[in-house]
Amino acid sequence: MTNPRVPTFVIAGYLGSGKTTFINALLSGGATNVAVVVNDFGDVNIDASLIRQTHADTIELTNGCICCAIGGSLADTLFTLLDRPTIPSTVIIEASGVADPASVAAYTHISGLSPAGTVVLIDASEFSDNHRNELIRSTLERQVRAAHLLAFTKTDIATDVQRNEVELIVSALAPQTPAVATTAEILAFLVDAQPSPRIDPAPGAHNRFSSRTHHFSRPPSRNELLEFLTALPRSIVRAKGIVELSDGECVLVQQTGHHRALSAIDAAPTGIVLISSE
Amino acid sequence: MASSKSASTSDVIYTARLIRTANPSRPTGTAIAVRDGKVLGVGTLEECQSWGITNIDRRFENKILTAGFVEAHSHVMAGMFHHIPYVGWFPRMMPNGEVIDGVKSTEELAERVRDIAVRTPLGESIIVAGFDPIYLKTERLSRHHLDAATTEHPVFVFHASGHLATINSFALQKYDIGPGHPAPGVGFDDNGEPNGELREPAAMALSKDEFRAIGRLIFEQETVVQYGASMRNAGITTATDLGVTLHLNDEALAMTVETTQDETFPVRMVAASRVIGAVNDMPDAVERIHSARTKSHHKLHFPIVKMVLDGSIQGFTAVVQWPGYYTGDDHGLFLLPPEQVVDYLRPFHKAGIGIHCHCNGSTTSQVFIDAIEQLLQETPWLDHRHTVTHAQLMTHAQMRKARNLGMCANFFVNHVFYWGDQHRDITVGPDRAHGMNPCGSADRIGLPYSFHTDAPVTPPGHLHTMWCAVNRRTASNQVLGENEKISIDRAFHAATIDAAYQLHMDHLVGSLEVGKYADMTVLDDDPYTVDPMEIRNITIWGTVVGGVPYERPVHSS
Repeated sequence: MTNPRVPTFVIAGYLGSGKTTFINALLSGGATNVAVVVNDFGDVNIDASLIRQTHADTIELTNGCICCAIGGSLADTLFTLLDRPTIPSTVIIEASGVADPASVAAYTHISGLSPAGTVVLIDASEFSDNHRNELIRSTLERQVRAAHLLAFTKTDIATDVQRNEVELIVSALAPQTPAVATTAEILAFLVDAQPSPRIDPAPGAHNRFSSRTHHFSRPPSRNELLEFLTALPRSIVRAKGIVELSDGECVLVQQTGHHRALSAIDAAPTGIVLISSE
Repeated sequence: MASSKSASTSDVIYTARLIRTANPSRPTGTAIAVRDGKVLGVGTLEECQSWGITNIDRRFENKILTAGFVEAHSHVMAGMFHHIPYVGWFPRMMPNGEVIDGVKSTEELAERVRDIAVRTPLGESIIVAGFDPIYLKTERLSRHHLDAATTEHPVFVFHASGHLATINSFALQKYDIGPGHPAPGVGFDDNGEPNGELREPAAMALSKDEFRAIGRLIFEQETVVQYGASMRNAGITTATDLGVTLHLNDEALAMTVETTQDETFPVRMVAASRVIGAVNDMPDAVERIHSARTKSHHKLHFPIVKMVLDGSIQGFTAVVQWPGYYTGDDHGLFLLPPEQVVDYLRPFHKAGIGIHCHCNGSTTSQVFIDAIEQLLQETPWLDHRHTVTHAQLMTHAQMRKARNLGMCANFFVNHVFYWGDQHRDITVGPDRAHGMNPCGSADRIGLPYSFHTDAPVTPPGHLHTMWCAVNRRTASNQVLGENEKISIDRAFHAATIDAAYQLHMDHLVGSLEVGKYADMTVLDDDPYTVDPMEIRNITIWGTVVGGVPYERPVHSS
């Protein structure tokens, strides 16, 4: 039997939106066996005590995580990552600040990976100013449109005017896309989907998050499962878990914002962890 | 010290029908004296003999010798056609000198693949490259055409654009690509079945083994060897591999040093690293270039660095100013954040490393020029020669400003022929298409420029770029940009000394002047006197690099 495909997220966002903070938080937080693919090690800052081994383009961590820098091409980096003896449980690709997240996400379909959604970070304190800059406006808009889940960062230092402006711009560009105000630390848990006590109500301007696990009273049919997921309120920003279907098949459910992936899996049912923002 | 007039045994005089030096002080001669691989003098045979040299080599008696052509923008992947059969529309010379006929229909492509299949073990991949459907009048290539060639091998047809591949049903099955496959870029027919098309590298990467096989070529020594051979065949004596990550990788750098040191390697190579990484990685990249320079030798140089700011015009990914593209969706894509470009470039500028910046679109040209203006205000460097490479849509205001700042342009003038019709009708519309790669205007403005082939994107060789710049003919034989035509004299200088200038190599190569390397292109005819439409058809014998002849292998067909 072939290995199950590894759920793969894309994290995108313009300069200063908090991608690196997010990656640093993720690698030194509770994550295990997560592979992070970054454009460069430039600002990646990992606690020295967590580093097991450093190579030219990879850093192995004691918690089982690995951080890879894209040397030649993204495809090569991903293939090389999947050639390693240990297959990661989650892959997170950091898109460059100017990349089109959709073209990066296209790589999450390659052999061995399965797409798990694109999260676009938005610096609430800078976005509206940047959006007035004609040079980069289309870059920003492309990013917003490509998002399955939008995450506003730095909401605590943004003014009310800035917050209102960014919400207006973003909701016009991507009216259907769930959006949360969050910190990089919390976001790390969102994409890693580890239900964790660290998902505490955040102070100030941030959303509050809560998580619960849903168990079906009897194995649903595939259609019933899809109906259940479709009916979830938009405040559910993340859903993940293994569900046994009525025909006996087990499927891995991966939902990030409005991105949904169902894949067959050879593992015991866990119920679905639902993370909601308020 | 003995008089330099005492001849040594390695001294040699080459005679020729005519020598064109690209040295305005002495533009022509009929003999060249060479000592220690350098030009001792160009003039008459008597003048050369006056150095006391008796060793006269008359093999070029009936040939035209010119200052060796300098290619300032190509890629070692030009050596790939040694590994991967060529299936493009135009006839193309392979590194071994063999000329492969063009593929004129999908049926012909299938025949070529079938021929390869019969000598390929079952199940093994067949990869061909350079397929160019833009010129085909026949049905669009699909998996069915390739299935007609073989159902027992995965087939991967890599298109010339680099943006598309077509695979056969065997490969689709191998990678489990069926109806409804969710990956962007997978093409489907009217029945919802995959048609074999994989658009953009991300989709091509679904065909994992074949995609990886192509990607690996860049690191193979044989690719560099064959790159050198391709350049020799095209009459190039100094070739720039612009934009490899090679010398950020110690192993690849060592391989390049070793390969170019071999005396059979026929070309002087400029290796320009394309630097990737974060802004704060740039000082380290500067150190890497300094350290690579300690390994340079007469056939390997590291004068410049490459940056890439956008994509391609035909891919609609170049960032163009108002009003944007003529038809199609604008996917203009910055590859670096525009406000960070100056921070990326600063460490190189301060370290005195020439910067060649890939800007296909007018917006990115502007961003680059503005960044250089700021850097010059911060750190004066009067002789930087920073170069806008591709520069296809540079505006006149940009050219004036670039001139004032001491910059250069390297035009992708082959586009006029290969994609000129498409640029006029599809990408940028007639007005801008006529002004693309504006050599004539650059001359009027006084902006120094060269032109390039971007091989393997277009075949290597300056006879074709010169032909394009002089005639401005598209593939459908229409003139595109009458007022951007230049003279053969200007074209010759752009292909030689002006290319050397923007590489900071003009004291070494680019013209036949006393003390510079004796690098020559050996031609059967004189580009100055043939019918201008025949310039690209002149037969190339080969080259002389450092006084050593490198003959193109001749295949009888």
